[in-house]
Amino acid sequence: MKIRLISMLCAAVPTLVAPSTLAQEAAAPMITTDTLEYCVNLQQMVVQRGSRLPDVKHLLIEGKRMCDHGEIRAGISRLRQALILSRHHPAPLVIPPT
Amino acid sequence: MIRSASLKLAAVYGILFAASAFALVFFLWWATTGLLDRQVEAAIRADAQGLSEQWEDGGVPNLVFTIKQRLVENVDDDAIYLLTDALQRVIAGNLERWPAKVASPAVFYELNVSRNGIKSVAEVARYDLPGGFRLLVGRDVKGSAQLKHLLPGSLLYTALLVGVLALVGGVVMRNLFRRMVADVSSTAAAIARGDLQRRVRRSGRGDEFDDMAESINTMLERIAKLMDGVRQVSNSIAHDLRTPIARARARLEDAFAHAKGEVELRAAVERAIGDLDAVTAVFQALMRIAEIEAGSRRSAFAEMDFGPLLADLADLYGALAEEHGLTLELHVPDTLPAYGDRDMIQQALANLLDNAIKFSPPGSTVSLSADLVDKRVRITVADQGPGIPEADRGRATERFFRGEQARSTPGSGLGLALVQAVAMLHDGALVLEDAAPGLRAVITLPSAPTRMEEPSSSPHDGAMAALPHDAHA
Repeated sequence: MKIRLISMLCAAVPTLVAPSTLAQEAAAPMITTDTLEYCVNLQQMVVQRGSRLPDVKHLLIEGKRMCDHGEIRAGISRLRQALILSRHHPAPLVIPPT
Repeated sequence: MIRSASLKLAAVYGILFAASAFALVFFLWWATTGLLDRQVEAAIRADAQGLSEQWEDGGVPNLVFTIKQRLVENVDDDAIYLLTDALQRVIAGNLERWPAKVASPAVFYELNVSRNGIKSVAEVARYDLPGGFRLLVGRDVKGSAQLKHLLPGSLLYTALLVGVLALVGGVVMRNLFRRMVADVSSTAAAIARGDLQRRVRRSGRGDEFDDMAESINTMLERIAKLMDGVRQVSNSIAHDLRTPIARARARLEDAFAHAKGEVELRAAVERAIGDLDAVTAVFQALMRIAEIEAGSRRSAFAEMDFGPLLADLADLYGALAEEHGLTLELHVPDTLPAYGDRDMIQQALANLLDNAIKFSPPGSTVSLSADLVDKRVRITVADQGPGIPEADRGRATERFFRGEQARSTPGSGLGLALVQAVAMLHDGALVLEDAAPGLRAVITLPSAPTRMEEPSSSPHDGAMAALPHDAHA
């Protein structure tokens, strides 16, 4: 089953379609990970994982601040970095008051 | 203007430069955009492969977890995923809905997406899963798309810059070329006006143009020398032939006016015929030299043996030497292989022997010898006469040249010129040396390239006594 699925995926090598049909699409679908809601989710995940690393703490504060100021994608990027750093440092972290 | 070589050179340079630059820039554009596309497509395929494995390992829950995990750790912020069920309901991912245009599983799509209210471009592909589930995997390619759109604009500016550079380079090349050929052109024009002493100036850089200047100057020297030769020969012909022709005319005129009978008239005509025969002989000798110098007789070249040839000549001229009271000595190997025109070489050697006998004082010795040195046959004719002063030796082989010593001796001044021509035709040389006393004429000729035997160790050695003899014409 696994081999069959992989073969199916590999066999279906896509070819690029010209962007001429793009204009026909009424509205572009939205990316849902560029929202403030997702930013808040990521903040909670960083806190839940917990880390005493100063860099994680710094990135968390920075990411939260940027999201609060409307720089959603930049803030999310900081929080993602914080999550990666904190993956192997599960110690609880106290969130400073904002 | 269109025929200007410098303009053509400049145009060719400009076109080649521009074509090369455009080809290079186009290749860079094609390689860059192609590389970007291939990288994105490879990343999407690898991503889809990993997700399919997660599906196989743990079904929908595992796939959903993996998608969320990948989105959480997507520091580059470019990943796009969407997993829907058979009813097109969104199960996981970061795209709000399935785009209608992504309809086929075998195609990469360029898709407009909205990122926090800002339009962006993504490249996505659809993968169908069992149970009616559909997976969309993509990458935000706004950065590379912007780069791809910027490149044509940059290429346009590059094209303008290349065009300007090609134009400037063409003008520089044109001026350089014109400056380089200007001296050659002015020299050629000066020579065409009659200034034969003018030469092309060398820059001293030792480049190809210096080589060309040297070749042209060598050619001009050669032409000048040939023209001098022609002028000298023309003068000599006029001078040397005027006398016998004038003499013949005077004799005929005198006989016409004063002959007292047929016998006197006939005698005058005979003498005039003799004078005119001498003129004809000079012309024949000139034509013979010209023929030899033209190289038209090379077809008569063959392997030959100098041993018997020189022995025969010694026999022939031994009698003449005897008449002059001379001794002709012969030192020649039995066989001496050579390659050439037998008749021509025989005539050249006859001229040398004739000269030696003509200028030798009675009682002296003329020697004819030959040997093989460094695969070349060296034939020497030496006498004990007055010789040729060193100052005249260089000109002795010129047509009609006659030294002070030879002015009182009958002859046309063409003998050594013919010997020289024969030697050069055979890739050989004629060298005149001081025999102290006398003259030593050495002809060097190539030996036979094949089969003939090496020179014998028992040469023809001999001496022939000669009797006194009147000088001959």
